[in-house]
Amino acid sequence: MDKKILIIEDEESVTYSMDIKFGLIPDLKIFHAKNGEDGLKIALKEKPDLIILDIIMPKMDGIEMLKQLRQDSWGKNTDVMVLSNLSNQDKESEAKNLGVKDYIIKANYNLNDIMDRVINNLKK
Amino acid sequence: MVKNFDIYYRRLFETAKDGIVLIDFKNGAILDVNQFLIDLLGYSKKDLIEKYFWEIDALKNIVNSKKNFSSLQKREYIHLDNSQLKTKTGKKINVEFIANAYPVGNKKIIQCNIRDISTRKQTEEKLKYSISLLNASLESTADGILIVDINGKISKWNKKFVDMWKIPEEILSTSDDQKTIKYVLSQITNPNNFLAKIKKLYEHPRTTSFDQIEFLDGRVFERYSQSQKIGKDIVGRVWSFRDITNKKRAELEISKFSKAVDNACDTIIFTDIKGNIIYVNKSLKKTFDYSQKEILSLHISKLCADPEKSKKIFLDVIKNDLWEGETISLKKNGKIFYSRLSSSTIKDQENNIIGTMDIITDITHEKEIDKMKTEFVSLSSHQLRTPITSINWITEMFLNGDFGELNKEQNESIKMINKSSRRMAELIDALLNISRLELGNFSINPEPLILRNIIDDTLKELSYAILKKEIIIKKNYQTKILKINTDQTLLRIILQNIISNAVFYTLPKTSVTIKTFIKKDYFIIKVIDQGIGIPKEDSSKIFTKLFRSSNAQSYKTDGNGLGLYITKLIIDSLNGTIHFDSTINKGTSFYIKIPIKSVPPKKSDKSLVVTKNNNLKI
Repeated sequence: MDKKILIIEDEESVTYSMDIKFGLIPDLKIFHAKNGEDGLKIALKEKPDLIILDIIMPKMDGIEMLKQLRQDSWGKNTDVMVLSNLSNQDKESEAKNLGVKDYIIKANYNLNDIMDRVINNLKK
Repeated sequence: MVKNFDIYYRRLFETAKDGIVLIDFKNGAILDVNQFLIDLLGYSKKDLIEKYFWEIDALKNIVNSKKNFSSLQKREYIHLDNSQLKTKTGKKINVEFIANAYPVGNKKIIQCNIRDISTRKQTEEKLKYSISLLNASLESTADGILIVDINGKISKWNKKFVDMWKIPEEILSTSDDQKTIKYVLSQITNPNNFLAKIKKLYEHPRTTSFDQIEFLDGRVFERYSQSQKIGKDIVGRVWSFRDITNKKRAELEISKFSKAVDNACDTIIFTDIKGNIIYVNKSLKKTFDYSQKEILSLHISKLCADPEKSKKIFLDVIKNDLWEGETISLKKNGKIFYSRLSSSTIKDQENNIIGTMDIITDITHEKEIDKMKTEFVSLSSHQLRTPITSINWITEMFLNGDFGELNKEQNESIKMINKSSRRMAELIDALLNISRLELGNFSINPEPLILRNIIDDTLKELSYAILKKEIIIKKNYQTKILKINTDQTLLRIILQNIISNAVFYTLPKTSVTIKTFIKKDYFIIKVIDQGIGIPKEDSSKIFTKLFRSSNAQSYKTDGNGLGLYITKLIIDSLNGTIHFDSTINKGTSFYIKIPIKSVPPKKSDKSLVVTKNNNLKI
């Protein structure tokens, strides 16, 4: 597939699960960041095909990272999926206004379903 | 004979201020009349002299016949207190009449004195009237009155006095003031003081004095005492007593009440009919920082961050007598705070509105706590979900075969962990929803929805359980229903709870029927199962928080007792209703009614959470 994804997530066990699952996708390169600040740097450097973004994180939260990403000429159209456990309508609509594909409550979703969505997003 | 009268007697006769007539005792002929009588009767002397007494019209009332005259002759004396004469012109005159027979020389005469008493009579009538007026006044007054003469003798009292002091009439009728005083002293709380004051008043008869008397039985009298005068002379003393017990009690009540208002924690404001502040309690200084002086006569809207809204509220109160709700208050220094306002009208005895009473409670702290609670629930649910996510996902990968084939025991064990973790995720969603529902802190976004699609989605999520229990789903949708205008999230949660309950509690190999139709102004959704039923004794508790009926607990061990509680709260928020019919071991039917006319949209940064049940095939 020769695609790149960036997982910005501070919770190790969640990253661990995604690494294993997404590792099953052939020719996919996975980058990691544990907060928004690092995530933004890596994104601008690696220019991944899809960013998986948590909301509540240390240093810079997901929404702030997204805002800054959208300032960038490359970043303004990059595909972003929000995977958070925060159910807050304001955050969700803010994220959607910033052009994210999905706002998914992790605890309520199967990883299989999430992987299907990731693959779908990468295919385009 | 008359010539024998000495000169002095003659003069007296001529100048007397009584009418005098002299009659011959033997035959009743008039011998002489004086000038006063002539003037009084209007006859001339000639008209009278030598006539018989009973022949004179004017005198007929006294002696009207010869026979009558003979009785006068016999008795030789008559005294008539009040008789009436008629003058020549017909005018009636009241007179006192005295007749006396006596010898003059060898002749016997009768001297009649006639005194005009018309004036006296009038005075007497006037006096009688005055006395009756006095008595009537005394008896009709609300005060008890006692009049004592200058020597201390009781001269008058009214019935009210007797009633008030409970004094036996026999004591009063002795007219002895000392006895009366003694009787009085036994009833009051401070007899020595009372006695000292009376003594002083007797020593200073001109003094007017006022006092309050407290009784042992709790009554309170006002006493007023002043001297009774005729002209400048003091002839006695008038004591009047008024029972002010009720007034005193009312005053006490009012003082207690006003103390409570003054010191209440809430700010209490009275305004006049225009909304100008006329009273504030002490709390105002603390909440609004105005002094009493600064605030009085300001308009009530000055205390509101939105004066226009405040004016509207004021008009609303005047119109509807009451307004309750939250407002934002404005302090003197321009700072604002959240407040709860209860404003009501004040009316006078004729039911006219004379102003308003406003009770303002600072709810800043409550708001903060509410916010903290919401944030806490929201954050803690986020925190709780994170480890659950990992457990869900990792166990899912095991079950998915991502780590290779599992043996039967491994598979069952991991399945159990996954199921428990899923339940935990559902529980977190339920608690989050309850917190939002209970605070009313969630958005409602009505939109046209195809009802059957949402029912079918819900059924799809339950397909594994339906298949496993071999349940037949009977759908009976009224084709007319294409769209229902309501909030998708809320409708989904309602249907998930009611339909999943039906699927979980219906017995294996039975059916679940779902009917939808329109009745009057409502969409009706009817879900009928053939399950364990709801025991009669539990039917009133079925929609309460954390309640599970005994048979449900043993039939399905993993329910959380929140589903129907949440469902009821949501349906309430949509102005709908839910109720059920149930027969033990036969089944239960739930009826949901949602108004066709949707509730208005409601904005909030929170929405309810729909738990995805797409994991149930595991």
